[in-house]
Amino acid sequence: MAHRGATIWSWFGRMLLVVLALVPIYWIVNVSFSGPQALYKVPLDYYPNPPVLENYREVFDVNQFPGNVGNSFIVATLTTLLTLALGAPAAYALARLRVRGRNLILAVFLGLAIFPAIGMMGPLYVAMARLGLINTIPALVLPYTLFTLPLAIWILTHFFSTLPASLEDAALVDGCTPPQAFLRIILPLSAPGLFTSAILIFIWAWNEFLFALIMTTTPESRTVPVALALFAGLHELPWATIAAATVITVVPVVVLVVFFQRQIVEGLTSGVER
Amino acid sequence: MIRGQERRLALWLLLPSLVFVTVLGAFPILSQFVLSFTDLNLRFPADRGFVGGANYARLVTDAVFWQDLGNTLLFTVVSVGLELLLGLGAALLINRAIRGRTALTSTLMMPWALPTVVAATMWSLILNDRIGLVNSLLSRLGLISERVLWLGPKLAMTSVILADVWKTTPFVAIILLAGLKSIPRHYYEAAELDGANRWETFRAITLPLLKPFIAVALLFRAMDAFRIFDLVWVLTGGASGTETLSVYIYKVLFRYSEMGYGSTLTIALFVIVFLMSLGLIRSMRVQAE
Amino acid sequence: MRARTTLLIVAMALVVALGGCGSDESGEVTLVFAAGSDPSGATEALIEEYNSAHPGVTVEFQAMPASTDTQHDSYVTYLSARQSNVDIYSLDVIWTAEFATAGWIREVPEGLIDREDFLEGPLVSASYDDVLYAIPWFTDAGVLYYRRDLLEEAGLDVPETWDEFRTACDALASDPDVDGYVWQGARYEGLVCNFLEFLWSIGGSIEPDRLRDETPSVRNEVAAALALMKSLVDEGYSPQSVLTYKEEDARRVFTEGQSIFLRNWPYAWSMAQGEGSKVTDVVGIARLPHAPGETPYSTIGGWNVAVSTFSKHPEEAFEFLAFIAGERSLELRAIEGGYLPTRKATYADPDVLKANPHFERFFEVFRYTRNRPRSPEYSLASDIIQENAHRALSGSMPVEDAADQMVERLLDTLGDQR
Repeated sequence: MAHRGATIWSWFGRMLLVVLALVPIYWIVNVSFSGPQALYKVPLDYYPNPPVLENYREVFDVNQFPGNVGNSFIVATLTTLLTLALGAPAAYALARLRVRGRNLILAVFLGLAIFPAIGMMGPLYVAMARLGLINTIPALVLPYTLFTLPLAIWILTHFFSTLPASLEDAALVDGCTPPQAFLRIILPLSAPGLFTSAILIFIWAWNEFLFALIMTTTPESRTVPVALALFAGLHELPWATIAAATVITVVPVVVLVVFFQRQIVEGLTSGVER
Repeated sequence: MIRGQERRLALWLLLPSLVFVTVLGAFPILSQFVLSFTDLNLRFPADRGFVGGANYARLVTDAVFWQDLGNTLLFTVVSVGLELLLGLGAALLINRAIRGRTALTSTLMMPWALPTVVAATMWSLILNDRIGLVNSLLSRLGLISERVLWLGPKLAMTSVILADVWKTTPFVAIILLAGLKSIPRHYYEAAELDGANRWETFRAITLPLLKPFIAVALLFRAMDAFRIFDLVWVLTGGASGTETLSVYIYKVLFRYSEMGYGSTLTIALFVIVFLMSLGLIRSMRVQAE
Repeated sequence: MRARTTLLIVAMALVVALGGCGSDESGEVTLVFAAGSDPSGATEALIEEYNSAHPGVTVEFQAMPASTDTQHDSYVTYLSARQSNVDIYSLDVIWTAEFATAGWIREVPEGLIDREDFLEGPLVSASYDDVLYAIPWFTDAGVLYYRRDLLEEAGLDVPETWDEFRTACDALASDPDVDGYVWQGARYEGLVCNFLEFLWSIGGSIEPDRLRDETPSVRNEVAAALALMKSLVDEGYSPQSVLTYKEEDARRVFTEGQSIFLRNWPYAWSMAQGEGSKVTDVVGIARLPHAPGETPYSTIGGWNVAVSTFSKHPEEAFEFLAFIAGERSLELRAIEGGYLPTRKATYADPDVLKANPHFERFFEVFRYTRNRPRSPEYSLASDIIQENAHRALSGSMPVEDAADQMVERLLDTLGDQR
């Protein structure tokens, strides 16, 4: 589908995209590798001059930070798995089966998604405290799932409903049982939707700050956003150290995203042909 | 499948989510409804009493509420609008790419992968009038002679919108990208055979088939934008006309410990966003027909 | 089904593995002390010392983000849920009334400390209704920093009145890149501190009884203070960007040599002498400028320590409280972390003075300090002041209207306090 004029514009567009998305990121990386005073140089240096590793050393010296990254990872992963485990079947039902009150159910989930989380903080905190779950993984995973479930269900419902209606019937005609039809045909075809949802959920959980701050009180149980907030001094904001910590936390996410991206592309090329 | 069987299957598939949501979500949400009719102050829980609609009456005459509503509306409309446009553009660009699609998508994901509080902190550094990157670049390029006060009274809202658009356009792009990829290729091949040019193809095939995904993206972005908190809190603290409803609610709940009125505000925000969403859904549905 | 069961089991296993801190069956007492993180490490060292010296008691340090707002909101969440997860809280001086009237912190037992040992301002901030609810831990107050070298070069004395101040700025105004006076004018708590200092410097005040009984006078004083602040910006003595400055923003301008005067807390001194500063050795400390005949009071900052009402071990908690606010702790924190002591004697300690020679100068300035309004509704009052002061400064509301609104709403909020 190559129209020549289009290609030049596409190229320009792509470069612009990359620049816009990356310049602030580049800046964070730059600051992370520069000395703490480099920011105050006039005129500003646009690259580490000279590059230093002390900020990264600072970050690893701080108690628990690697552990916090681990916590974030676990929480985000479990949230994603739980949300998909709950949401995918529900979305399938809403999209492919005749369900009475389908719109009502979707509206309920929508309503849940809309409800301001701030309002729920107090009661959820009390609930978790009473269950003795403060500082544990479930204290975060459960509320997070609650918040991401609606988005997952909406996206997946849309996705499932874009699949051709006769798919299951065709599979059944070919001799599959309903579960087999689901596993062998539907699921692979909905891979893009599943992975899209997974990414959205994971990153949401990874970034969440307010609930994490309230539900975790010990250094060992904290997640990354809260740990990052801890770097700030009473008045000072150690930009360089924060930048280094940020880079460290973003790298695993980026790696994961790249990994998932391949799945999406693969899921597609093996997919929609009939 | 037989009707009864189908019904039972559907029930089993839906039950776990519904139970989960009910068990975990019902209590917090219901308690907010109840509390909105009380004057509970968390510091003096024993003094709490039922005040009927007094909180709601207070809401109507609360100048801060209306002002913040305006701020929030402005923010939502502008940033979501920009995000849809830019997100669509980005998704189209990436979809068209044959090589480097993975790299492009990953690049695009990075702004969004940052924790919001960190992105906000970084933007406040980049937009700093003295040591910020933006002013440094602008003055090097000779575009400004005086330092621009990005986070000052005149440009605060612009900066907040800018930071939000930067951060969440990837979200929209991802959803639209998934939508683009769900469009069977042979539709395009057919169109090309028919001699349609790119714009006609876009209007006739891409856009209509993308509608549900645009709707989802628009819906969730609008809902999120209307309730924005982290970004504003870190960038400006709500100063200079950037205080949104969520910031106000946060203050009422945690600064003044007014659980009663805070719940009223929460319910109000909920109702507004809910109506807005219903409106959006309805209009999308009308368009689809 | 199976996947979910597995998930549940995994989750429960994690609960068991990670949960359950704080409760001991061995008869050992564990106390949790929540405070802003201490980069110097002095607090942790002190806690270790305490733990070794007190077998049977283990104190755990729960480091909180340094941001005072974040701490406030977390503590409010815990305490309003009556949680016993924290035994000893470090509280910003402005929270005492709020926490005390809510019944969240315990009265300090008679005799635990000798009030005479402590600086008066901080001690007042730790009390409410004449009852002591906390022990002052470290203190802060606004001071004027100035460029000694520039003033000397121009043959100027350190300005004391606002007129002298303006004259000095005018005389040194040669470099367009150098500002006259930088302070904190962003819309946050710091603005309240700055505003009050301006107000007090012209002889005004917003004490609740004056608010009630002398409303018109107070209103005029507030308007005058706002006008003063605004004129500094309008007439170019302070840059427009001061409206976005918090402590660090203003401090940086000064230590980069880009302003002549700076209003900031004592911590800025170490920053001025430290790495990256362009003004090491040429900085002087003075009292804030004032109107002729008035006293330039500085706003009291700092933190106190208190015991939670819901602590399961109040006795042990108070013992630790006495230690962490005791002479040894204050000395170590002063030496290692530069935290200003709240005990008078510490300012005469030779080791402390050796590590912080400027403390002597601060001690002099601190003779004239005042607290912000002490009220359970301080959060709301602070917000009212912040909002209206910032609007007046940015010009989005005329000074007169801002003063009217501020006083009216403060009267509503603080009016019934004594």
